Amino acid sequence: MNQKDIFKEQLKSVFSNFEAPVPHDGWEKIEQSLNVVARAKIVRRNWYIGSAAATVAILLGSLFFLKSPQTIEQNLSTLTEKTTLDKIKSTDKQDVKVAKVEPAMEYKKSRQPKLARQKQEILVAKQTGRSESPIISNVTEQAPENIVIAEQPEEKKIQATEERKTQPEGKKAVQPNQEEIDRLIQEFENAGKTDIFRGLTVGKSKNKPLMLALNAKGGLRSSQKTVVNSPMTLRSASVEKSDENTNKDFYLGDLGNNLSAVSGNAALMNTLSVADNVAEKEHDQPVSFGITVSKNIVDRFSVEVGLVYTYLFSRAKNTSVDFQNQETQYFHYLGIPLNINYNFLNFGKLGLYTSFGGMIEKDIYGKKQYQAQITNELLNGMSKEWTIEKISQENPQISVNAGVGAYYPIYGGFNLYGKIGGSYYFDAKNTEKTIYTDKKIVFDLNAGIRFDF
Amino acid sequence: MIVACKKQNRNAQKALYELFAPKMMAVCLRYCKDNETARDLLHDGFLQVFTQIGSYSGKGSFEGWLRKIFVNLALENYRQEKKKVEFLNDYGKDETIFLDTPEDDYLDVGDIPRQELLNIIHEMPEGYRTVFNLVIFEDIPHKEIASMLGITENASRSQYFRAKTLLQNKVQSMLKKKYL
Repeated sequence: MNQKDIFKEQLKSVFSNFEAPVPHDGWEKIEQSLNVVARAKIVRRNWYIGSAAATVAILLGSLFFLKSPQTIEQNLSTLTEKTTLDKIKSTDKQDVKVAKVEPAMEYKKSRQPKLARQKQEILVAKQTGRSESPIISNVTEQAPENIVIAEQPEEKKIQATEERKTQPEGKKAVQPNQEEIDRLIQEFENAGKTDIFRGLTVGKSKNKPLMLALNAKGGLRSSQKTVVNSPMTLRSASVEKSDENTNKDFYLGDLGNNLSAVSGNAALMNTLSVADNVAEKEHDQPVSFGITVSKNIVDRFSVEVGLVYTYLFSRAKNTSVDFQNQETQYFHYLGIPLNINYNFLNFGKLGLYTSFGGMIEKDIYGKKQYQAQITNELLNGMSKEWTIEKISQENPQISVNAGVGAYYPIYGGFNLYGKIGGSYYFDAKNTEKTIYTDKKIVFDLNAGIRFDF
Repeated sequence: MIVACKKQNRNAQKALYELFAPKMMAVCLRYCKDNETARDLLHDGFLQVFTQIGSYSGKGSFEGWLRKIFVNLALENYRQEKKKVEFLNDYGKDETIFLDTPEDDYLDVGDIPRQELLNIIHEMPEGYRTVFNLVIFEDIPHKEIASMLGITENASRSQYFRAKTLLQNKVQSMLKKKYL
């Protein structure tokens, strides 16, 4: 056994069975902390479950709302009530059957004129009972889209009455075959009500009822830089609050504390000059990626929610004759945006819209790297320090934004879109300085791909 | 007891604490500069033990697993406070001494009371103390220590050497006082 081993073994043997007295209230404190941890765990779990349930409920609710037959009926009844009876009553000579389907046809004509004509003919045929018409058989094979009469039995009765009143005697129709009509109605009912809804909504505006978008966002400038002679750091909020702190404290920040602790040399602190300091602080523009879902609320208006990830990077540098320090920090943020979009103009396929809303963001991870170098005779040379630490912000960041954008369909339901706008960031009273705290208004460019369901 | 602790049974946790706390307090005292910091480390360590006990698979010594948690926590604290503090002029001197001096001189610490040795360890700069503990009590090679602390292998050797020299000088001075 060599001397190294002997030394090691001696020390090990001295401490081998070493047991130190523990604090008398040690267990009580641990138990309290465990209770706090357990409560926090329950709260966190409930929060996760609640969030998941809310998300699922929103998704299911959206889908249900889109697919709900009741919604379709409401849409259809609104359309037909407004048009059919008014037109019937307004003119005696007008053909009731054509008047009834006219509004629906108006919406459909722009995109599907052939289908619209077919449906018109179906309805006419149904009213007159010409079930053997070749048009009827043709349409039933093609999974018809409209079922106005099938959905509106009451209206049908009124219509029939009106029809009898306005029917010229010479043109008296053949009595309809009830079985044939019922069969047709059933077939039309089974043909899918969604298509009706979709067709009508698209006809009203170019916005689809639900849109999923993947987007990326970046600032219009590459960075925001400040150069001054007074000292600057990325963490000066606590120092700024204290009037008693001198510029030197402000200037040294963590370095001063660490050096004092390590060297215990108070004289060193007094010899550092800040008079010739040059300070630079720079925030890179935020870069964001996200996924959003939009839902049409009324014609041309849609509400948009989603999840957005943002990366923030900042650096600060102080340089003087005998001192130099540099801080860099980055943050990963997750945010939930809530925007209202208004589609105000269409040029052919190109659509223009404006957007306004807000976002709440919270950092999920952050890191700061601190480097400092001091040249001083009292230290007989140069000292260097390098610290890396995890950082986090105390409060969530709230902002409001507005912008104007355009979208253009590229393939199927896919649209390219871009938006230029700006955001105002409210003061969240956070310690770590970011572009959000130093530059209240940030202009940005947003681009992405949107899918219309 | 471990199974009950996994079910967050408070009585079992208390029993486990009473069984192992004195030994773990000794570990904490070796890694910390004073009693107060050691008490904080003991508290945080047991909190982590009880929240992570589910990850203990049953393979290997439970005391070893426990000890590893406390050592890792001590290192984590060290990293958080100062990832790296180097006085370049001292560092250069260390390198020279390390290269010019025999690696180990004989040092008889057997006659020195444990508390005295502990006091000397407490007085060491944090970096020295950490490396010293890892080399002597955890048998971790310098290369690995360098990786764990984010320093070079030479810096680890240098800090260990200085820690040992410091201890040696103090012990020699004590022995002189004792036999004179």
